[in-house]
Amino acid sequence: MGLALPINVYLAAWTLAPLLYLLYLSLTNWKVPNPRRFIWFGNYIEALGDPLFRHSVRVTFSYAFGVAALEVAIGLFVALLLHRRGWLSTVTRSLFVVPMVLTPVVTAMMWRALLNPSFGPMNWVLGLVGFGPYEWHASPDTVWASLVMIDVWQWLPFPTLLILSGLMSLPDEPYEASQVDGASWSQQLRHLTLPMLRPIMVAAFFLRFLDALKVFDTVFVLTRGGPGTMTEVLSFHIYRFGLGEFFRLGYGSALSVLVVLMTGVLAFTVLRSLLKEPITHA
Amino acid sequence: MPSRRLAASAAANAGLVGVLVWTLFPIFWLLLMSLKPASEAFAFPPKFIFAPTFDAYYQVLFRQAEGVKWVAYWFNSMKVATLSTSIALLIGVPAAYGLVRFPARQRLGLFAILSVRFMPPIVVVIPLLFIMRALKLSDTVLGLSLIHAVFALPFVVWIMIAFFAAIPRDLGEAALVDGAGEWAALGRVMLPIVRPGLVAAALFSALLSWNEFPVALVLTGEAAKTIPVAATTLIAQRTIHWDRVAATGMIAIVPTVIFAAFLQRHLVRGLSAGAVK
Repeated sequence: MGLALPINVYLAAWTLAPLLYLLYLSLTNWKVPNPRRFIWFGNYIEALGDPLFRHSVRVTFSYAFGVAALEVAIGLFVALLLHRRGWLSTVTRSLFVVPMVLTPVVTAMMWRALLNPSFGPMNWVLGLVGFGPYEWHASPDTVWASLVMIDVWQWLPFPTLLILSGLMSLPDEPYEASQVDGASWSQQLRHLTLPMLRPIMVAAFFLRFLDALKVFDTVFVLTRGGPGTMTEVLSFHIYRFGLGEFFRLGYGSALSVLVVLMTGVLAFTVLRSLLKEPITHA
Repeated sequence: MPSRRLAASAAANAGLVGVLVWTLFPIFWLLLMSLKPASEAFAFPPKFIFAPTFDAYYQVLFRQAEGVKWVAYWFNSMKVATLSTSIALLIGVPAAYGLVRFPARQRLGLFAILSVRFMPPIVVVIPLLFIMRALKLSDTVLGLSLIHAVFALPFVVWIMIAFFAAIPRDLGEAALVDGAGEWAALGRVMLPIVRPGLVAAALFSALLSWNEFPVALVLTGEAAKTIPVAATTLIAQRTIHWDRVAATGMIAIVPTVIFAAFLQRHLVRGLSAGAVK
């Protein structure tokens, strides 16, 4: 027995304890170098009444929903391409994973160069076909498109490869039967493939959604929440108010608790619907 | 009919080429930027043909460009990745084995472990900053490693569960009949069988640590600074030396690409922790 003892102790020490300390700090008005005083729910009342916080919640959830939906939709399309036999799809399959493992900070810096309005190749390529030039992350019109594009570039492989693994494990019989009935490729896609892939697409969506809620690195490197506070997503909002700019530790802690509650409820719901039967020895 | 099939196949191949170009061009561009002489960095239309120079790499690696000690930070990243991976494996592997061996309480355990995976890292940095200060661990490799291990644990457990679950039940019970305890059975019988899993979990954990930014940003100063944190100082300058940014980027991503080459299929499975079996 006791196989789980180390992990229990470790998570209690490095997750539970910091969260309890966070909860305590969130009830104080601590702001370095001022002394700290207990103010009950003052920070929470301030946060919930702050339009910037509500803006931050709204844009973070919209962003996460947008990238997750987009990546699953494009992912399905690309997975169908990769499912074909041939050397081209084999090569693509193995190179396709690379963006997913690159350091996100480096990815963001790389895209900052690609999108640079004065020397970036993106405007050059679009210019060749008669679009642009765009200001990308510097302009309110295109800043979200820029952040979404980078997220899609980096994370599209994940839902795609999940869907591809789903495609490869589909049973043959229904396809053979429908072939006999003279079903076309698009009919098979609509009535067989998509319904059978639904669970895996839903799972891919929620995983991307929950991960995208954490967005920080690209915002830190590209926009710092700007223009104005347009792209001030939750992680960056916590960083700016709690540490970076204002060092309001108590207030930043309250923001963190609110984010833990929001993502916690979501994660719990998702986990409950996905972890159904226990996993045990073969 | 054949001509229609040919057209469909041509369209699919064109789509695949499009996916390849979209995936690889940005990285190819990063490589070009890192080799471009400073005088041509800002040329528009962008130049694809030029006399390559390794000056940016030289400046970054040997001249401490912008006063940044790249080599030291690169090794910091390596140390943190190694140490956090060791901790995560030491703790996560027995936990995964226990969860598979005793499925009765598995759901609760998995909930607790996997919920860590969904927590945005930024929410713990404020308390951790002061906990680390109190423990005299701020700006140390050990301090950051302890936290990176927390983030790696859900993935290590998830990857290992699949490997333990693939072992036939009889084998586990046979090991116990011999009079060995659970720990001995794990160490002597199970670990050698799941060695490929250990490699996958270790690579995955190292990759996570190598790439992690927000916690490293807050918990490290000069002594334990990691590569992602150091890289952002390059774009905070008034004049950005894009050739050096690119060279730094290339140096930072080389290990990740090597990790990825070994991980391949485990990568997606690991990332799907919490959802897809």
